[in-house]
Amino acid sequence: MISFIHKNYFLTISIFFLFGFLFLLLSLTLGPGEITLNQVLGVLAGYDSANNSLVHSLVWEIRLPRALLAMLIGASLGCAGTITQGIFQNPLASPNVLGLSYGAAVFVVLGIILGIDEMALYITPFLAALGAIFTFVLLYLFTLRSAGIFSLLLSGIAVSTIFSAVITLLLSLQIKDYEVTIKVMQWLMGNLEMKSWIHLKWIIIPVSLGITGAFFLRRNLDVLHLGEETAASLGISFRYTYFLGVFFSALLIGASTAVSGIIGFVGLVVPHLARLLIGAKHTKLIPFSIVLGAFFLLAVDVISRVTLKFYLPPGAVTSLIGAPVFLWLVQKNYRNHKV
Amino acid sequence: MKFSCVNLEHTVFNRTLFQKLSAVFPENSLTGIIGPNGSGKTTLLKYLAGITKPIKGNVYINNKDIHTFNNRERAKKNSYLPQNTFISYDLSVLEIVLLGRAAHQKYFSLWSDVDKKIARECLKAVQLDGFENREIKSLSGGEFQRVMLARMLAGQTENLLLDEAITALDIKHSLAFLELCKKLCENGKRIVLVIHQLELAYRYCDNILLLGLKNGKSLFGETKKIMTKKNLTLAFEVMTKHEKDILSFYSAK
Repeated sequence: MISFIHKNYFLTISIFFLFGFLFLLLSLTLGPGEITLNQVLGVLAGYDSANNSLVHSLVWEIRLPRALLAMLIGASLGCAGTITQGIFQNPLASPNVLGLSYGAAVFVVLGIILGIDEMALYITPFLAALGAIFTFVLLYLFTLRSAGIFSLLLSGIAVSTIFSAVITLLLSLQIKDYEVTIKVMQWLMGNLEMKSWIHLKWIIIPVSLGITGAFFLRRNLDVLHLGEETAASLGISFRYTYFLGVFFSALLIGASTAVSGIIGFVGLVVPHLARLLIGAKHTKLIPFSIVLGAFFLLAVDVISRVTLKFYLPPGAVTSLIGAPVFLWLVQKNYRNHKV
Repeated sequence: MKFSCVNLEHTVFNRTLFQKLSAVFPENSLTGIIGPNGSGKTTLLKYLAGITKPIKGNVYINNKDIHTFNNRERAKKNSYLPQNTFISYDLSVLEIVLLGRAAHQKYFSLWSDVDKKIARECLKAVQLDGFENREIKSLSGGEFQRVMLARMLAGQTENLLLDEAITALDIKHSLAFLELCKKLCENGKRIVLVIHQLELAYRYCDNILLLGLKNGKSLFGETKKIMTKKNLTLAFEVMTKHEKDILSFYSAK
């Protein structure tokens, strides 16, 4: 099957698209409230007998933006993961090693504790974006300006360690304030509840910029397969590639963390699966990991939506699916003596 | 095209590895850089390739300093193979060779049929036709180095700079690789390679650049004139013997 996909890239990606679209339609019928596919199609086509009906608002105001948001965030995480694994030339890297999402988290947690998060709907996303930008500036000042890939990796890990320690510290100071703690935990676990068109509108620009940037970088990332020195001799500046790669990842991670909190493992597993299916060439890998990420997170969201009795955070679901896949990959590589 | 360097110098921890190093590399020639470990061979090759800037001295292409070219222009003149290439992900041989054409590409263009045709011709030139779809990790050491050579050829540069390209190869594949280099030189390429196998350097190189003499001195010239008993004994600190055009070495003591 894998060699078939290798040879028929456009066919495969079209099939994925088609199935993804059908799945999107199907996902709009799932969840609390009885809605048929016909009703969904009716709402989408715009001829709804009673425009203000419950069905209309459920599909159009709640489920559709939420599904589209899940896809957009999945696409961002998949794309950012591919960029990071390309930059680090290491299949075990993920956007998390850059500390961007933890940087966003620190700002948001601080906002919740200070109680400014409820002043307006945009405060939390704004703080998250600010945190991601702050982390990017830190990485730039410490390593991106001059140093190589290992110091970037090490400072990314150091920065995320510091940030998660700060989060723990902030939480422990507030531990008696039950409401705040719950709110923080819920945000940290990742959350796609209560999303509307406005959230889509906020992130569509940074996400589009990041994805366009990834396309722009794809040949640089390919040349990096040969190592920094060879890349330099081929006229590709690796520092410039690292800088832009981290910048575009910051846009993608910042935007998705801003509206949904931390959703782990998508950025690690999706590029992996995409690479297994389509090969390591970024011209193909980047579009494919975007599509795969979108439908992976949509599927995860559907799972957490149909389990009505209790709240299943998408961050936990992705990790529950993602971590075993990760273990399997590590073990497989270990058997082949690659790690 | 002219290719030369003037007064290059490199110092590590107050030890001068080479200084006042000047050389003119003739067209269609195979030049070997030889010298003991730590004599600055790799550094020199990077200077010549233009990927690091020398602290002192200049490298010229057509009497123009190599660092006045932008990255892409330079990549169309020189191609460079580092000592080790480690490829983390599996790519096909053709995909790797196509990467050699990066400098010829516009940012948003895909690989054209012309690029693919050139890449296939380069694979043919290194006697690897039929290997296009093989995964790079499935290749042997000798095949891998030939893919790297094809990758360099795909850039269509006149100068090829190779760092220890045959160090890990057995004698049969080393000979085949050098024969290939020789043939490429006859067809308009100029090759500079760092090489440890002195017997092979003696047999195949037109010119030799010898490093590792006292006080950062270096020698450049025709192979037979440079690889003399006296020079090799001084640079490598071994006893050298010439026997009917074959070199043999003995421990200094």
